Amino acid sequence: MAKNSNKTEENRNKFINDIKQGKVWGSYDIAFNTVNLLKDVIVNGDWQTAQELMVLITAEGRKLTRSLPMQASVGNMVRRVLKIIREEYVATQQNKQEDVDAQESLHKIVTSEGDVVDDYSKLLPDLRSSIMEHIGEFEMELETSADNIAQQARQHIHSNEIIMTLGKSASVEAFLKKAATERKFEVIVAECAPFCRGHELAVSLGKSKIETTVIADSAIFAIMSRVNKVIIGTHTVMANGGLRAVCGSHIVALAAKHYSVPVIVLAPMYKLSPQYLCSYDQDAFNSFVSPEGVLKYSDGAILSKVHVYNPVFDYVPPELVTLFISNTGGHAPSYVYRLLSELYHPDDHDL
Amino acid sequence: MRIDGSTFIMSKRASKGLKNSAETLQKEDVVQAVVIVDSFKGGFHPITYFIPAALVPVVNTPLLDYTLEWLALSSVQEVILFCSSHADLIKEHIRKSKWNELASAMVITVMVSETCRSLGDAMRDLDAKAVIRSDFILVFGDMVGNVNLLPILEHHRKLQKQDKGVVMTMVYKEAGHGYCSRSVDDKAVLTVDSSTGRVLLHNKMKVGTKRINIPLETYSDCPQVELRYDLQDTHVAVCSPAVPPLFSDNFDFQTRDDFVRGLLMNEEILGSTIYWYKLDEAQYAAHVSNWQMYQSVSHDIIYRWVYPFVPDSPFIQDVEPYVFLRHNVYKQKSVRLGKGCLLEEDIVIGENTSVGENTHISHSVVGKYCHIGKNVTIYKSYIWDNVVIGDNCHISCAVVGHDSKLGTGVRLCKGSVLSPGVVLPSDIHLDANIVVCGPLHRKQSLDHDVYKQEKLAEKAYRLLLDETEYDSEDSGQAQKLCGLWLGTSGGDSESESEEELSASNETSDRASPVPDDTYLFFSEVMDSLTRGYDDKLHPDNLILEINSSRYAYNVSVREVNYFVVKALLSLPIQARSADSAPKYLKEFNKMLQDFLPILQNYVRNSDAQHDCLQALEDMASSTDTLHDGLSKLLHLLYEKDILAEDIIMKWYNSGDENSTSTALRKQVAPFIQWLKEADEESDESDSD
Repeated sequence: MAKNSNKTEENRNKFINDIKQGKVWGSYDIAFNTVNLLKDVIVNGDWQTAQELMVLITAEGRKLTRSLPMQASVGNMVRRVLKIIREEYVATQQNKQEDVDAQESLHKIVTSEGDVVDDYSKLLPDLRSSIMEHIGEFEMELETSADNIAQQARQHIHSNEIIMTLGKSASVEAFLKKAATERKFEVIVAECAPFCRGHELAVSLGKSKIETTVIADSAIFAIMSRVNKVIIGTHTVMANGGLRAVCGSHIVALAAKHYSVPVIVLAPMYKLSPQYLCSYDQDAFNSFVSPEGVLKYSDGAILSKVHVYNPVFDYVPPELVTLFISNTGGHAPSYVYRLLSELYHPDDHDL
Repeated sequence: MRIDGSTFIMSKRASKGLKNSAETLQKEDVVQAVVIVDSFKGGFHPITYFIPAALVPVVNTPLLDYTLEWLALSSVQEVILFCSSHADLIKEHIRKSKWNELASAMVITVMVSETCRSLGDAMRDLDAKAVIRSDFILVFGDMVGNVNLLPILEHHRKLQKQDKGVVMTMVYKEAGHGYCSRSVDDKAVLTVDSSTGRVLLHNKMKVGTKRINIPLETYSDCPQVELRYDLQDTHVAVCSPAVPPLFSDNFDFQTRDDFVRGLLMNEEILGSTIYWYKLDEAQYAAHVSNWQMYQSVSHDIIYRWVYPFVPDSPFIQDVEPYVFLRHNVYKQKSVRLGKGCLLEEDIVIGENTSVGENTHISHSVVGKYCHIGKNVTIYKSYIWDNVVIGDNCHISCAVVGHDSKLGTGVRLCKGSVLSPGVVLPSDIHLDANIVVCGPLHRKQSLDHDVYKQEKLAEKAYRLLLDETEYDSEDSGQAQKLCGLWLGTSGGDSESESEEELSASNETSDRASPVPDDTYLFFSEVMDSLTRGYDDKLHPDNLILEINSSRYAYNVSVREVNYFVVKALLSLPIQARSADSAPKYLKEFNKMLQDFLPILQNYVRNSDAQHDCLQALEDMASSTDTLHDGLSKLLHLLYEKDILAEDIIMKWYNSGDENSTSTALRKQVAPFIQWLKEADEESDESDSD
């Protein structure tokens, strides 16, 4: 067993290192690898009951989120797996007690809530296999999520529309390319300095024969009046429906608000986080990278005279978002709380 | 060769790691890094008596942790830590760290060689132990950086395919003028072939060096040559396995500079070439070798140039990440702040530190478990862990070591350094550039000859340089005692503190004469001549000796002429009590009987005669005896055919307007007059 836990630890360190070294990149890959890591714990871990397993998973999750505080999808996946364990525990237990009616009614939910205080400590022999089965389904859902979002493209993008986006998001790229197979439209890409990943997106769209224009970030407001829709990706969707998205998103969203242009956010379910942004830790919520893109290190004497910040994220409040498109369909920001309660168990919100 | 040091293998995974590598990887694929834990430069003297330089905390994290994290980030698989002094502390540190865990991705091997005194020794030891298998990354244990080293290694391997002789790729970063990220020790002009990136010349720019010589061959051989003086030496190098043997073959290679100079000079013989690599803009690497670099690297970390190695990122596992607030304030959650205390900007405060009421902190780093009293002002200072600072203290531009205690009302100014464990009683005021030491337990390692200790309190000794023992060879030691080298960091300061800093610059300069190469050369020549005169050595041997020291210190021909004449002139003053002009002349005349060949050897053409006259003038304006006897001296040299008449006349007419120069001219006027007359006479006699 000790060997197994070593193996897990080794895998975890490798995963953390891979992310830090930039070998694993993009929230989908991170989410996918996290689930694999947790599967490893479930298969090789030393546990008998669901409760023990949950303790193991929570501990693993805590270590991961501590090392990778900026990667919200890691924590989301841990919570999701915990939820799966809870569901499977209840389901297998109910199967065992044959007399229990499998069908849930509103009456039953209301009445049975109080008397069953389950501590997940019963020994269930089939639990491991059923959890693994459920996680397998969940992995399938993960794999198809990008495709599912792209499938909805033609419901949202119409002919001859002008779409604005910024930076580079894999979901947005797939979404636009999918739409381009059926419709003809124009895309304006804000370059998103100083990283200028918008350039990459523009090149990629151009290769797919989409009419693309790259603009400087300062031109966002000027161009916005001509735009029909803003479609952006996000890093995380906060519990209130706000976004932690690439720096510049707030400007785009505000400009869109001014011209009443709808803002559509592509967010697969694994980006949904039960965390809120509290006003007092605004700075802790962001991540500030090396100021190199803003000011050159070789600029010399000025470096010691100025403070230079290079934030990676923007917080976009929920009232600026019109619609979320997830792999399960479109949702208004006000509906996010409901999705959260479906995806995660309230006890797992704090890892 | 020194192989008597013990080797200590730490890794429990060594066998497993080897098995792994045999299974999945070819041996060449294992990325090896050699970390020389001791940089052998003594920039943190005398704090290095208490803790090794690699464990000096920069922004509350020991330097070694930055180095190792950085190597791990660059996917280095095997690290060889090479320790000499304080090996026990380093081993303990590694044992406690996460690198010792079984699941660690990096295997660390600690090698200890107590006798090792330089990089050269370390490399020779590595060669003897034959642990280097392929190209390796050579870094020091006190480095901070976020460079991904793999592309550099790739670059090095690509170069090897084109040029079999490539042994080293040195890594440089562009650093603008006016910013103090370049260490004063490391200023160098790099001459490179722009098309290939091969290093052609590497000229160190010591303090006071005004010019460098670049031979014509450098230009004629390469179509395009680049001269760079805007580079920060990161001290990162990718080396071929051939490097340790090269160090073994050449015993005089002590430092990396020796190695580079030696290889470039004997390129044809050794058949080895050196290349350079310029870092991308977003990448950072720096070697924290002295207090100046300590300060600028701390600044760069706080300003986030070293991202992801910033205090608010969780790169050290058992430390709670800091909270990053506006104006570059980093604070841990457990910090307790008193009422009315002001954290201005660029501040890091470690865990469980309490700050008293109305205390004002700016541009500073405060460690863990510190207690800072009320009404304290801390400005541009570095307070390490477990420090207690009493009320009403004033600390600016200072370093306070671990576990120190400051009573109430203590004032530390301008570059004071308190080593760990100092206890200062109340109301002590310390001025510029004072180094205070705690009680020295490791007496055996302290050279008492160099330091004089002045007792300030029970656990506080002020270190002074013992002037009597201080000679030119020890000028390096003088630097070491200069506290925070704020002075040389000119560009770093804000306008308000500029005056303060320049003041400290002056004091530090006065306290320690710069170890100028030419000055060293002069004293060498003086030594040779004095010895030669006393022992009646043959002048030819002396010339040989002077020439060899000329090459050693890299002094130009004209400087040699100047200094040799100067040395000859000052010899009579040194040797005997030549207190008056006649006595001096007599002595000089006597000496010239022996040394005339030397003068003749150096003062050959008109340029050299100019230098000779310059030396005469300089000596005469500084020494009274010479001043009085100048015209006689000129006459003597004229008679011995050392100085030609027209050169003397030219010199006489070229005087400046200042008083000493005109006074000198006046002094020699009779001789000039005589010269003119003699000239006319001879003309007349010719015409007759």
